[in-house]
Amino acid sequence: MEVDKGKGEAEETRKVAEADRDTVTLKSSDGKLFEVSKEAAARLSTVLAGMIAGGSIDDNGTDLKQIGSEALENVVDYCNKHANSIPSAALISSSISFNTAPFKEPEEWERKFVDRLSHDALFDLVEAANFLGMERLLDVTCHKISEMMKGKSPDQIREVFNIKNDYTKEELEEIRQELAWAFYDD
Amino acid sequence: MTTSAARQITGDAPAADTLPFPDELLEEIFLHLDDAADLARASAACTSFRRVASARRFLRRFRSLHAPPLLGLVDLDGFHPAESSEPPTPPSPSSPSRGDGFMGPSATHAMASEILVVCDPLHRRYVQHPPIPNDLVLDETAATGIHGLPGTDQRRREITDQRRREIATNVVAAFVFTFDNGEWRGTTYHSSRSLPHGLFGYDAAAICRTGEAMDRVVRSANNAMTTSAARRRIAAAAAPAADPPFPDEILEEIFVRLADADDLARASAASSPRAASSAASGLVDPDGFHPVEPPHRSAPAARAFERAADPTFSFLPEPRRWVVCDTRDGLVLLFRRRVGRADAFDDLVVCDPLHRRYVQLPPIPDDLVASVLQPGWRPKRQELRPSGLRPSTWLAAETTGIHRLPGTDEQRGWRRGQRREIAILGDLHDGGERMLDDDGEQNQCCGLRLLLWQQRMKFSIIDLPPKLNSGLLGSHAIIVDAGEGMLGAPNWAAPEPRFTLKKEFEARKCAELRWCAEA
Repeated sequence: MEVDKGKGEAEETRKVAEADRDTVTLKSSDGKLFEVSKEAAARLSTVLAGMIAGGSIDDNGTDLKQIGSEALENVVDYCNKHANSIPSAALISSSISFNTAPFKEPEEWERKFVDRLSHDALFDLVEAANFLGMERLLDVTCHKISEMMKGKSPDQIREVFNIKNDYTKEELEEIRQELAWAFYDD
Repeated sequence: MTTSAARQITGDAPAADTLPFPDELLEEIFLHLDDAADLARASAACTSFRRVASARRFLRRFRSLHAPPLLGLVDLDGFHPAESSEPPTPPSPSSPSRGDGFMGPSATHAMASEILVVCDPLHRRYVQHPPIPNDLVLDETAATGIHGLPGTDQRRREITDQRRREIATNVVAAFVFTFDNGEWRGTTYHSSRSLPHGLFGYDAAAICRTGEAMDRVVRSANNAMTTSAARRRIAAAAAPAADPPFPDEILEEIFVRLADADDLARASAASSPRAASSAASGLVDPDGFHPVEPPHRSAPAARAFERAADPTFSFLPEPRRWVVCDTRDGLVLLFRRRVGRADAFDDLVVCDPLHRRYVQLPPIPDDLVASVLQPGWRPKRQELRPSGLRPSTWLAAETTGIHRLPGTDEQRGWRRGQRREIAILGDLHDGGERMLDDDGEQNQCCGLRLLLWQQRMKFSIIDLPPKLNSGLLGSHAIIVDAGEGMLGAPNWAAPEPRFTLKKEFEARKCAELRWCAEA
């Protein structure tokens, strides 16, 4: 009994200690530290939630080696903004668009949030969101990137994403013929 | 907004490896593209994009998230795309999915009577038109041509004259009721297909062809809601407003609904699934398809499809001699009479108009014909039929009197053609699934087929429900894009019960498509 009691007390003290610290510290690949609300981190990121629950959060900065400081800053920024915009949760559920039924449309602030990012920052952020298991952020960033493809020709898409055309001429010609219906402006 | 400098991956990696994202992320991004054409173009950007976009697993996810849009309708005259309000409009990249703002109150008429109502069958509301003034009707019928339309301006008169000079049988006289001024107008069009948007002429009984009895009329829902193209087309006839003779609240309701079909859908989704069926796409009649909903969200794709495809079959040898007899799953079966052989089967080709490919079926050996056909039986019908899981394995011709030719597949070799070359409708397609029921039995008489664009990157043709085909509902049906991947066929021609046939698209298994009657 005493043992149990002791354990209970220990847990309580730890809870108190955790309650004292309602933020977690994250460390980017290049060693910069960022603080983010524990509640928001746990709510928005399945990976961070798992780490918090599993106690593998390091008070001196939890290493996130895969994420650069710029991307992590954006992640933290997003978490903070999201924390401030909780009241609009109801709005999210009511604004389901039928045309893009499977995904919730980004909210205004989310749109602005990704709109101000450079392409590179956006691409890094989408990877960070993927890594951290931040479903909503992943949706928002993917949506933004997909918008960068919409209505564009293959050439324009290559330009936007800085990718090389690795088709042969013949292959490309074949594809264009197969997909002639997709090339509106030819 | 520089793209490259800061990216280590792109900066350092060799050319072939410049992808900004791993495949799994690309997949997520592609899933957000709601237009398959965007996906197709992206897949033409580089091989990795194509690899991701054409992966079966991905396509399955994509299909389950995005329902196939209605592209248009096919009948024996060819393909009639979902129409946009501005024919030459380039696709507007940012808003194609928002474009379908028009959802019309469908005009209909009471059969065998001249009382006309404009109704919205999906919401079971209507307004009744005032009768057409007799003098207007008389005026219209006074001559074989159309003349003396009241209030026509010079331009209209020119058009009318011009049309009168052209063949009279192609001229359709229509009485147009405009909500703008609450008046009936007489007017003419080249054919029912060129009726302006908003004028729902869908039935020979409803449209008076010049020279035919004029006691039946067509009416229009051409109203204050119609948008630019129709308005311009009919501008000459539309005079500035008098008071519309309709209860304001009904108009208001219509206006509200038309203002933003998205909002309507959103609002009505909560109440009932049927109410969510909002966007009317067009009407089918014996003359083809009458798109009513410019701009339909798939209009750009529909037009591109139309351009890419060759509805005149110019790629066939002696193209003018071939006659379309059946279409299915993107393939078209055409026949050509064999000269001097009344008892013989026609020559048949199966072609893929989109990719301009065809296969001519070898003739049926005479001895096979002789062994099967009794004297006096005539070859009558050829159709494309599904026979097996893959669309590439069906292809058959039939005659009335025989439903199945005896013998093994080998003996029936003529039925099979060189399927593989003709049935593949694009590299990206996922050939494992079909959306048509295996038995094609119930659909035999009608040339009207719906063309659906499957997100699997292939085009499919879907039959109208059997009852629509059988003549019970006749041509008094409209097909609407009911949203969420469903097609609706509300029917008001049959007195009781008033039911709706719906083609349901099950996201997970798009092979299951059924028309269901609704009480």
